[in-house]
Amino acid sequence: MVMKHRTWQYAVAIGFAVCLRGQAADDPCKEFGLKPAGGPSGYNWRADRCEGIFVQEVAGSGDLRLVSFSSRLDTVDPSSVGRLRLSWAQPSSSEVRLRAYSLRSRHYYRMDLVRGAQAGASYDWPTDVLKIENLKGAELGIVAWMRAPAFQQDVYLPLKVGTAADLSVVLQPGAELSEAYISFSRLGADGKPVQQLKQDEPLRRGYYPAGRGFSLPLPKVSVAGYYRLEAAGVLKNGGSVTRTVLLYLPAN
Amino acid sequence: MRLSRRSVGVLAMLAAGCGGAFAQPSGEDRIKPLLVMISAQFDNASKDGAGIIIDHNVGRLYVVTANHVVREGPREAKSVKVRFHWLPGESFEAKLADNFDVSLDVAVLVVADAARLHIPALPFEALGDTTQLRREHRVHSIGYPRATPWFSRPSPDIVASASTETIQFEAAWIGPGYSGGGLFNDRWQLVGLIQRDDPPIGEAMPVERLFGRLRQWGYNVRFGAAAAVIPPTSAPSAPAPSAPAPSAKPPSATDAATPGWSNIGFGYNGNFTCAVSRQREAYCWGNNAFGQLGSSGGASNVPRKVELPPGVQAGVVYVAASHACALTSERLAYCWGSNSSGQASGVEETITAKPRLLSDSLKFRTLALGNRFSCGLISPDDPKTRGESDLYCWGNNSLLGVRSRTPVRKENMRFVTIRGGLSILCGTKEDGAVYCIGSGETNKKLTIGSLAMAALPVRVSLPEPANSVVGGPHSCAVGRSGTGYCWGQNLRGELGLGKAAPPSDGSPAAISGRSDFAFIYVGVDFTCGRTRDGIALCWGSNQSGTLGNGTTVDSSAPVQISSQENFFTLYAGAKHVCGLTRSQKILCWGDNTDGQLGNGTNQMSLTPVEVPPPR
Repeated sequence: MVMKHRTWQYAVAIGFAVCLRGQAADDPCKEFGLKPAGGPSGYNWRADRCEGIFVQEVAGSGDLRLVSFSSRLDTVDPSSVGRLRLSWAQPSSSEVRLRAYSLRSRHYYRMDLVRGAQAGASYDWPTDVLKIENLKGAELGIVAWMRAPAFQQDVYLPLKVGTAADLSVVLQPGAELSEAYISFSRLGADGKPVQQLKQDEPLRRGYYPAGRGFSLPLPKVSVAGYYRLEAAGVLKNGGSVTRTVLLYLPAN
Repeated sequence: MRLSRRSVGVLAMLAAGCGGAFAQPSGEDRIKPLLVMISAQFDNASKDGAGIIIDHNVGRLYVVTANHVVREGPREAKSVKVRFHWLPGESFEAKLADNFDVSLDVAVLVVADAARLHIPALPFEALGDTTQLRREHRVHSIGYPRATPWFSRPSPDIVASASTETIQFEAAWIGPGYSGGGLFNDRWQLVGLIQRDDPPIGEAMPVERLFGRLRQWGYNVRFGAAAAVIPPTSAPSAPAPSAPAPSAKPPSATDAATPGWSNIGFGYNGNFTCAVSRQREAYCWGNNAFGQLGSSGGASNVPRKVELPPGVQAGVVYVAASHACALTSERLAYCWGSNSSGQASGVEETITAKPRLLSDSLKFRTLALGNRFSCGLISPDDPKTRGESDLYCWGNNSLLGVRSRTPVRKENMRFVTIRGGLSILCGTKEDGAVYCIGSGETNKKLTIGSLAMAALPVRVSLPEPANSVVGGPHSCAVGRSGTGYCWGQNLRGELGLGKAAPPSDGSPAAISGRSDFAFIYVGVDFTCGRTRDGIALCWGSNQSGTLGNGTTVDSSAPVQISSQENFFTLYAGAKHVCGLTRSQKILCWGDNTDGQLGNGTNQMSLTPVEVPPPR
């Protein structure tokens, strides 16, 4: 009898949810402007997030793209778990956005998640699509960001994936670089620099091919707060690119 | 020694052409100057892509590219720079033209002061025919991947499928930076504009669809200007090697001097014909009782220049029974002819004998003219509505709810394409749905599906989404499959149903025997169609020789006209038909009482005759 009652409750709940979904005027994934690819992995609404494979418009960019600000992912194996625990530190209670990419060449996968201010600082990410796409941790980039209330700019948040450690920033150049330079400074509460920690330090990797990410060493900081990372790249074919991102770092 | 820019360009052309001493440039090297490399700067990001030069004159150079290269949602690039193959190391500011189409992912760029570019002779004749593309044909892509300009892989890709909508090719590698670049067949003739990657498939828009849209906007697309074909690079019978000979004078002068036609008037029911020359001058011929030729004098049986104001260049001309309008390349409308209800201008005059500017603020994507009314879709598109634009109408049409000598916006009426005829206006929506508004002739009920005399847009119940629709006493649409559908009046077999009877409820029925239509053109009691292969077919009344097959026998099924020419577009008048061929000739057939065939006589012709090109 109890089972029957519960079944009835579930049916009503599911029906109500379906009804609500049907009434939704807009596709929640529409705001991200991606065209879903066909098949079960197509970029689509999946319970609480947009995730899957999309058709890529092939405009290029010589920019440096921030593709990951998280704990190292090469030890993460999505195929071994049903969900991946993502957790982050945030300076204030605000809406947080998460985005994961595939770093595999010509593999257009993305996950977009919006977490409300009251939703907490963690998310258990179902790995079903990652499994279908056979995506390994080392092929993933993932970032989380929020709007800093004090100075109204996007700030990237340190993201821990599963039990992995060692926070790193991964940048991906759209065109081959001959060298990359890093500047790093601490910001005050108003978003203005108060301490320069690195100034135009060359990475000296020797090889920065287009489309392949490279990680940047982050200095250990004693003060939790906002930091500005400026990366400059010298393009092998001439010219240069720069990318400035604001990071929130907890104290080491 | 300081080299002039022109010298650098000439040397670059020579260098590009010299695989060995005095070798003729390969097909690939020859077509590369048609492509520009684009860098677009947004607030916090930049984008790279390529573009294809479609036209140039002394003042301006026009480039078509993928819209997403220069726009991100509603945001436009703050600045756009283009690089030309013959001017290595230099980049030039380009402006975004107002014309863009989010759903087709097409945008136009304009580079001003083109004289400073010293443009070499560009191989606009290198135009392929996508209807000839088959699965497993080889194609080459050229773009700007990873900031590598004019990059093409040494081995070709393979066509997976080709339709009027898209070309899909199995791309060994295509990636960021290819957007807006060119897809070429194995003869290095342009067949598509590269847009997307859906691994392992790359996607490009076929040139016919692309150029159709551009011409609709009023651009003079130079591609296909000559019939010359670049020989395959491996052809053993390739011409003897010779040094490339860059033109000493600007090629624009060379091309502009070549007589020919670039467009023919769209419309319905006229006893006259209008067309646009390669020099962007509008010409009309035939009946001039209402000033519909746009020039003073009586009827004319040869093309007569429309008296547009000096410096105004026409892109497209639209015609109705007794008035006409031209859209300039700035998309301003100039109209002339009968003005009894204000359909041509806001000036209180029965006849507008010379073209008048309709409005200096309204810019139109396209127009559709009917009896005593005119309508247009306003540019630019609203990105959120995926290509549909607001409908504005002027003149008098009670069922359309218009009685105004100035354009008025029709609430809640937005379309991608529109066509008019008598008192009917039909349009297509983004999803391919077809709507018609208005009535047939006075006292003659016109059925639209199962409804008669519709004052509100009525959705036509087609079995599939449509690419285009043309309305009149009978109306026709082309489905995305290429099947043609007609409905309405069927006095002389103009619905093209063959031996089949029209549905009793007046709903659309498929045209007999063909399913490869690209477009259908509706006459008063006859119909013509153009297939994807450019074949012109007509059916219905043949009393005046409108079927163009050498007889006066009606046909209720499509018959091919007596010409092997490949047609770009047709115009079905009241009792005559004209068509623009791929080789930029205009051929006409049918009634010639008013000289509407434009061949210098007034004799009816049962087969196509050529209209002399303007001099």
